[in-house]
Amino acid sequence: MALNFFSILSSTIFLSIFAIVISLNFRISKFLNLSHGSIFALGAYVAYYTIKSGIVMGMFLAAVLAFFTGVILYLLIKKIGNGIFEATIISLGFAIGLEEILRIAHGKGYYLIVESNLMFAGIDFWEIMQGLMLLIILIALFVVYKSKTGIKLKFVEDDEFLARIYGVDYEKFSLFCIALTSSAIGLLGFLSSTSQALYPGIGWMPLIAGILIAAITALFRSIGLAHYTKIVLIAFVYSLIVSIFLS
Amino acid sequence: MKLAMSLIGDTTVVGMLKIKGVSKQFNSLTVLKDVSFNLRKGEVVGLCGPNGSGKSTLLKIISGFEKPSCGKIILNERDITKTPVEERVELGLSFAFQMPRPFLKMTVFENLLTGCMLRYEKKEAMLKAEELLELFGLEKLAGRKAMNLSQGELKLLELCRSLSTEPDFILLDEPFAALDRENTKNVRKKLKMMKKMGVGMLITAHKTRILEKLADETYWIELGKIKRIERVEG
Amino acid sequence: MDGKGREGREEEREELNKIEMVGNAVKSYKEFYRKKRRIKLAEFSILATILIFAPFVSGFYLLWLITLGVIYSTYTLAWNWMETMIGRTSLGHAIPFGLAGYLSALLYIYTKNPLLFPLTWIVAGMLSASVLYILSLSRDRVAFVFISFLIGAIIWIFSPLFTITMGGEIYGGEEGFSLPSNPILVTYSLSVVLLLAVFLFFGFLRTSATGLKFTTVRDDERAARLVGVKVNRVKAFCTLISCIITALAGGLYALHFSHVNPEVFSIHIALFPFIATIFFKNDSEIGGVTGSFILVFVSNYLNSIFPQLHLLLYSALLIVSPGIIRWRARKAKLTGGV
Ligand SMILES: Nc1ncnc2c1ncn2[C@@H]1O[C@H](COP(=O)(O)OP(=O)(O)OP(=O)(O)O)[C@@H](O)[C@H]1O
Ligand SMILES: [Mg+2]
Repeated sequence: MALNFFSILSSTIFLSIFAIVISLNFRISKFLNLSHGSIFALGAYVAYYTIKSGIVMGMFLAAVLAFFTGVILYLLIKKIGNGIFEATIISLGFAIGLEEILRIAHGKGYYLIVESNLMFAGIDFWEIMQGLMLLIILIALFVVYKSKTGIKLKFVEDDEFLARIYGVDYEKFSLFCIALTSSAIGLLGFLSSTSQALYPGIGWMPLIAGILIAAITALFRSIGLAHYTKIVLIAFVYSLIVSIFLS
Repeated sequence: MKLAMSLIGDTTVVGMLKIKGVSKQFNSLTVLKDVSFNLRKGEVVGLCGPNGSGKSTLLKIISGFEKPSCGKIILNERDITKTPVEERVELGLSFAFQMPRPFLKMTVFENLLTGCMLRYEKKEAMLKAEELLELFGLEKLAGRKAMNLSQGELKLLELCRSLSTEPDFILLDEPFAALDRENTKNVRKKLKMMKKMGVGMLITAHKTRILEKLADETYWIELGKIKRIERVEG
Repeated sequence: MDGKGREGREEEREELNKIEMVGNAVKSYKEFYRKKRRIKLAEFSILATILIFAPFVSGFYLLWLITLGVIYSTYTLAWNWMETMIGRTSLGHAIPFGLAGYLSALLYIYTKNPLLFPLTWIVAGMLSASVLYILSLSRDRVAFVFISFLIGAIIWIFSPLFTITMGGEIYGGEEGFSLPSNPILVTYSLSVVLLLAVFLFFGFLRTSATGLKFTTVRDDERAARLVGVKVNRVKAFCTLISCIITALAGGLYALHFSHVNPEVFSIHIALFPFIATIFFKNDSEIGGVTGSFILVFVSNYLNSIFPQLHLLLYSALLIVSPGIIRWRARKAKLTGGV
């Protein structure tokens, strides 16, 4: 086969996580979170510093750091922004700020390389971890949507204003959505740091691809879990098309 | 009042707005079924019915914001079913929204001026706009931005602006909704004045009572069907 | 208590007094616009004087920087035109801006004729205008912001992949293309002429009857149709004007640096006019020019401390922008009216 099935699969997994995260932010926190690209870069840079001293520790650090970055973004939006446009602009400003801080902190070397050749049954260890991560995210979404919280979540997705009136603690949902998805993206950045040279703007490309996939999936108008499984499908088609074009 | 009369072109030509067999479906929901009636210039037709009976939908179809599933709209012998809104306005149709939609960042005067400029050069349009201001007693608000107006004032402005394009027919979607007694009276007065000026009006309302002594004819619309209400005098 | 405080009420009373004084609406309206035009003309004369005398008193580097400010100002005014006339905030204006430079560079490789540049700029403007026009047809203004941003970002990300090979040499890619270098005074005078012309044109149109018609589209598209405004035509015209002027500015930008690279499509370029107009009144040309000059000069200062430090400033301004814009709107509401 001319197309590399394995690379399509790994790209599907990677982009699915990005698109799911963007979609979650859009549906629950009600804005287009453009800061994920920079948070992805943040996670990758954490890998650069910690990968030698312990992978588990590093992953934990990346996730926690990204989590609190998400919390800061949430607080900024709550304090300043009002509505989808303003929140999106704030997240864009936040993204540029984070990217610049990373760049200024690494003023000399622009491109960094994280070296690691951990293999597991002939497959790159990091790819396996990403696959595992997507699986965990999907299972977590499944569990949440089947639980009591899931009903509230669907309510929030459908009409945030009404949900508020009926006593759903919207702010809490929004906070956890932003923080947890940031955490996931930070982790993803960590896990994919070995596959490319690092620079602060590393996250823009997957971010834009993720937004495209999320937007295309949104055209199908499914809600709840069905939407997120469709994202994986669309991400696969997208990866397929891109790899055909590039080969 | 003489000036006011001059606003509405030639009143001797009897214009006619005909609605012929209009139906409307939203997916599977049928809102209007074979609605037909006529509206002459200078005549007032009331359209009453409960919430969700399709009054606003009918008005939107006549004004061009919605397309009918079937049926025809004919204005002064001309089929306008496929004509876009702005051309219908040029042909002499006007519309006042249920919720007023003024140009918020403009002053009251400018709001009217935009309408008057459809038929006149700027200099003349300004005079016309001023006339309208006087007619509706809005002079004191002339320089105020529309976003600072109260709901009642907005309703008047909406009415006044719908008149500013010098229409033969005006469609008024619930001009009495959300008004207190004082303002209801005021709006009624203005509507009577407009009738005298020879404008044909189609007015929707929830109750027939509010249109008494104003409407020449009243229709009741429910479940998509339209029926004429026979008036009992006294 | 109505919670407005004494100051608020006093302001209200003042406003009421003002309205009572109006009396004749036409007269006061005319008076208002005459005054507005006079102010605009005064602003124009000051700007023109400064720009005409600048080359005689400033050294090369300062003049170079002023040229950059002039180019960016033109860009800001063009962008602002779409925002204030048809209510569309474009985050995709880097497309006409960058495309102009790219097209002229391409043409230069093939023909080596710089006289054809203006033609490529106009083509770039028309191409981008057609995209933005289609986006503007939808009444969803937030979607316009997002999609224009997305298209711009996609072009930005993929532009480094664009290369052409000619005579065994590869042009383009991350490095970009070279353009002929020319004396600073040429770019300076071209940019100044463009800015002044745009300033006058917009200032005049804004205070005319046509301008009033355009702004109905900004305020409410449905109501605009009800006063007989051909909304789609207005959108097409405003988008076209905005994009072509942006492309002209982008072309001059490329000439100014004698070089274009993928950075001309970057979100930083796309965000520039948005940031430059945060603090200034939207419907004033001089506001856009002042904002652009301040941003260019402050950015230049920051960059001298640390390369690209100005992006941190962009970031901070973007984050606080909703607060500032809302504060400005509140002020405009209080002092609104003729
Ligand atoms: N765009 C639309 N899509 C689907 N259904 C619609 C649409 N517009 C209106 N409807 C439905 O058509 C019906 C008639 O609506 P309409 O607004 O015309 O009622 P109305 O008589 O004006 O009511 P009210 O007195 O409350 O203003 C309603 O059941 C409404 O839900
Ligand atoms: Mg209604």
